[in-house]
Amino acid sequence: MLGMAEERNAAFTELYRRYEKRVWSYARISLQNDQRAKDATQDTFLRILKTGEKGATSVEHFAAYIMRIVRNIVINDQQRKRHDTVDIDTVEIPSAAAATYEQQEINTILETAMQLLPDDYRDAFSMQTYGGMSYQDIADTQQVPLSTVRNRVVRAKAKLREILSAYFTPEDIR
Amino acid sequence: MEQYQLYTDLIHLFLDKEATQTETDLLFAELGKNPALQREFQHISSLHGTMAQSVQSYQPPADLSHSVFSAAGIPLSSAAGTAAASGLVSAAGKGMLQFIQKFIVGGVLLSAGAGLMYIVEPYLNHNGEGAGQQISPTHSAQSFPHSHPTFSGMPGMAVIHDTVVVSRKVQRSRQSVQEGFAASSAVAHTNRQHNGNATDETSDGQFSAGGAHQFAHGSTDNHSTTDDIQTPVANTVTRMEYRNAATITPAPRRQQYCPYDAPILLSPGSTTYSRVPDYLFVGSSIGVAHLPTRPIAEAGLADISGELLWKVSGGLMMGFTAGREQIPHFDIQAQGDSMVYTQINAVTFAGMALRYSLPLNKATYLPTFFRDCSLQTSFTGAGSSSGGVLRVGVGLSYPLNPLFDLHLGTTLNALVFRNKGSYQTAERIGIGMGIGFRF
Repeated sequence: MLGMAEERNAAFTELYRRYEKRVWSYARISLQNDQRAKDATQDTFLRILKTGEKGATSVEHFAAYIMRIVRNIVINDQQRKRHDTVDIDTVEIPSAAAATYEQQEINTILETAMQLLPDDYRDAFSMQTYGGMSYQDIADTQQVPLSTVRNRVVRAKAKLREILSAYFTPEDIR
Repeated sequence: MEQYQLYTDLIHLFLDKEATQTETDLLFAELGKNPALQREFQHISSLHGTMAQSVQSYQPPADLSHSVFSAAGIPLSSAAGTAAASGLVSAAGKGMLQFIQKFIVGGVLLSAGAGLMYIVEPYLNHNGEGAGQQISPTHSAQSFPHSHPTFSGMPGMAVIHDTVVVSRKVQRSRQSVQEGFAASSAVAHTNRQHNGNATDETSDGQFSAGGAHQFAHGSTDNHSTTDDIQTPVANTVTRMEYRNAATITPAPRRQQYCPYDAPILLSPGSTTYSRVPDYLFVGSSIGVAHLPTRPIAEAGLADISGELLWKVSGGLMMGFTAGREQIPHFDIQAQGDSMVYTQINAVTFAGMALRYSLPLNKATYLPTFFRDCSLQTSFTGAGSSSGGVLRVGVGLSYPLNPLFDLHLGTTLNALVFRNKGSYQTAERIGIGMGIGFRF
């Protein structure tokens, strides 16, 4: 039994090592809040652990699978939050650990710009850019045709470029 | 307008590595003749670069691991870190074992060695600018006619002056890239070669400035040669480099590695040689020698040597060497009426070394394994307390991983020593192995 537990722990550790940044980045950019992103990341990995303990799941594409989980958690969190009043303590200036001040500024602008995107576009864009998912994986996750995902991601980026042009001249972001 | 949007969409798809072959062909065919689209390509590439850098900046908080593992009831061990740290060692060990299994016949370990090989990546400098830009390998001197091989990359593609380099990851688009650039015809005589980068992440966060530079020349002077446009090229590239500096994320060291790396042949004046050696190699061998004073050969003679090498040109390296080898020879001294014969079994030597590395990646008739290797030849001239030491070596070098090389080869050693007023030689032949680190 001890051997099995050790194996499980080792597997979990490896999975965590591989997907921590991806899950965190997606949660963070989607929720715009460090604490809620931490909770979402934690819930995601706990759910993975519980699913593994049940031993009934066979996952073909783990990256897409884990991103689907974190996406569901993020959506639930966002829906719950819409009904809540805003706690002033939870409002924070978007920040990214270990980022320079200049980079934080850029991140803030990017995050703000992302809020102006339609939900579907933003979701597809976040999964592609911050979750590192392929278009096909996003299509599977969103349960829409691949062509729709292509359109959403490309339109999102085009829109972001349009928004960001107010902040960056082409020369600035070259 | 709709047509234009189609192409900008294709640019996004291409940069996301999601464009099909047909779409890529279509995009680059248009890029080759449309300056406005070329500028658009630049801007969108820049946006992608900015976003890629933003992604990189989102680092999980330090206490996240602790929270997750505590909630999961799993002791947060250093297993992951240990695994990562030991990955290199295990990879090297595994590679070495495979190598030994392939080459050591009959369970006889012919020799063992250990060494270090540090490679400082060749950095090129153009008038003090662009230092730190790593140039892709596999280029001949003719690729850099103006000695400013400045470049930048976008996902899957890098442009080095007038040389288009396409990674294997997007090889499918190579043809179209070439066609696109060929259409600009400013670089009609360009050498187009492959960049060996084969990992997914290689080009993340990079984007092309050189591409625009290429396009620009194609659009402004379709018949110019590179000689005609030397000065504007330099100015343009330098300016773009400066801008890129803020957004390019240097590719991790691992991703720069490719087993097919060929030596870089630099054009004169373009190199800033580092004081740090390019290679440090230590190897050993076991050999046999024939002793003139004995009826049989003596076997099991060991040697160990090290070479500290700097790249000179292409695959040629030169530097210092030192070591100790068992090469029995004798010394005869007159003592009164008798001659005292003294056998000396080993000498310590120090001197100069030359090493030439010839990659075998183009030898398509060879099995894949050998195409990953390079043929190594070395020559050593050194001095010792007994006399001059000459060593000639031939062997294969196999890249185990980004840091380690494994060498297997044979050496012919000769000691020229003075005896009874005349010069004599002692010879020894050995087969040896070495492991090296790349820095």
